[in-house]
Formats: sequence, structure tokens, C-alpha cells
Amino acid sequence: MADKTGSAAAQVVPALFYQDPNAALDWLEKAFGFETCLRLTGDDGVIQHAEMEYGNGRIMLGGMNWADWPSSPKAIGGKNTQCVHVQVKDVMAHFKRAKEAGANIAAEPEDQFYGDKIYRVFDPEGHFWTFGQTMRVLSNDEMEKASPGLKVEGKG
Amino acid sequence: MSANVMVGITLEVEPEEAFRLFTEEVDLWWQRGVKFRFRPKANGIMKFEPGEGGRLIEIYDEAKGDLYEVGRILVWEPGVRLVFEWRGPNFRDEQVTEVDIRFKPVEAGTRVVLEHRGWETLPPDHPARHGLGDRAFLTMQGGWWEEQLAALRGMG
Repeated sequence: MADKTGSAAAQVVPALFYQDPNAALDWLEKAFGFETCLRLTGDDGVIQHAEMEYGNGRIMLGGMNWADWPSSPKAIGGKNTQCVHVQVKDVMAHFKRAKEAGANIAAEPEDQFYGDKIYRVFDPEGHFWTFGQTMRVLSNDEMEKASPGLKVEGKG
Repeated sequence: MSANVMVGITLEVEPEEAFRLFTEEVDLWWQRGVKFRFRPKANGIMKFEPGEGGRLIEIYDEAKGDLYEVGRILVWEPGVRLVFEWRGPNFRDEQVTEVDIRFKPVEAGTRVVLEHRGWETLPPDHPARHGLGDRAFLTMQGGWWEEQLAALRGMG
């Protein structure tokens, strides 16, 4: 394999399970602008494994029938146990692209107390995603003042 | 359907230059050693004979006409698309795979998308599969091209 532990490579790589990984891959390209960098397809035409890039980030995706524990939100009443967040350069343009592709928008872009503008969205199988852009870089004090009574610690 | 692997990379050059690097400079980026070259102990030179009907070959002794023919070139569209047949040294006549590369202009330069298909023509016990199941074999083959294209990206 190519070196995926080099300094430029993403070190945290979320993997998502889909009932229909072929449709998911096409949709993530069209709606969210991910670029496929690896795709493995079996004799039956079904994608076994794929990897997609966005900026310096990477996700993996595949099917859900290769063990008894993976599932897709679509198969379990829409429940999610985690979500993927992506930081983008132009969140309004990203939102427009996703909406035009028919994405199920959970919350339109909105400024947050920590200085980012984010929107929330479900993909066609119900995976929950958030996309954000930093609009203002705030100090911890500024964030605390703008927050609903939260204490803010750390380097941001 | 056809078992296939796909690998995509972005080169920071125009599509015409990406196509030129892929074809004219093939011996520079095509990795060496038994994993990548076609005769274990020979030091050959990889070469695309330009144009449809040309061949991808590894030349061992040009004067004696000693070479290995990987396959015929089926599509030769500089800056756009390249398709060629790909046979391993232990393939029978009816066992042929196809490599299809598209060069797409993108903001950062050129997205090179390589698809290698037709692996279903190899029976499960074919030596090229190294005794691997479908998924593991495709993973190996995808990794093989990832390594190759990482070297190409190093030149782009």
C-alpha cells in the first residue's frame, strides 16, 4: 500500500457502513464534494471498500453485511452513534451544493458562539454529518461570554 | 459486472502534462522489483508506444527484440483518456484485464482516475491471486496501483 502514515496523511480516518455503498460513494462525491482515492469492487459489482478524501481528511466506506455488528442508520430506525464533522473553506457554498443534490438538511447554516458557522445534514442512508467554517477566531473569554454559561478551556 | 479497483490522485499540473508524465515518463515512475516488473531478474525499460494499436511493453534488449508485451493500447486521447490491456506473464489468452485512466481538469491541476477491471477473467485458483480471497486480492491490487501512483505524484 501507499504510505498512509506519512506526515501529510490523515491519521484519524472515520469509516462508514452503508446498505448500498455504490450509491453512497456517488452521492458523497456529488453532494459533499468528496473525491474517491481508492475503490475495490467485487465480481458482483458491489463496492467492497472505498476511501475518499476531502482536503487533508479521509474517510472509508463499505457495506454492512460482512459481520453481524455493522449497520446503517437506515436499517436501525435512523439512529446514529457518532457523526463525522468536516471543516470546509466556504460553508455556504458547501451547503448550497448539498441542498441542490437533494440532501436532507437537519439545520441550516448558523453562527455558533465559538465563532464557526455550521450546518447539519443527513445523507441518503441517514448518516448524520456536520460541516463548518471558522468565521471569527475567538479567545476563550470571548467564547465564554457568547456561550450559554459554559466554561471554556484548552487551546481551542 | 466486473471486479475492479480504482485509484485516484491529484497532480498539480495540467491534464496534457499529466498524460505526458504518465506515458513518456512511465519508466521513471513505474516501480522496480519483482512486485512491479514482469521478469523477476531482468532490468527492463517500461515504454508506451504512442497511439491506439501501440503497446505497453517492458524492453530487455531492444536490438534482439527481447521484450514483454503487457497489452495493446485501446484508447489514446492525450490529456483526456488512456486505455490499455494488461496481461500478467502467467495469463492465458482469454485472461485479459483492462486499465482505463481518465485525466480530469480540477482546480488544483489534474485528477487522475485509474480503473483496472476484468479481474473476474482470472479463476479463483489463478497464481496471480496468490491464494487470496476476492476482497484481499482486490485490496492487494488497489495497493499496488496506490504505490505506483504515489511515485507518479512525486514527479508531478
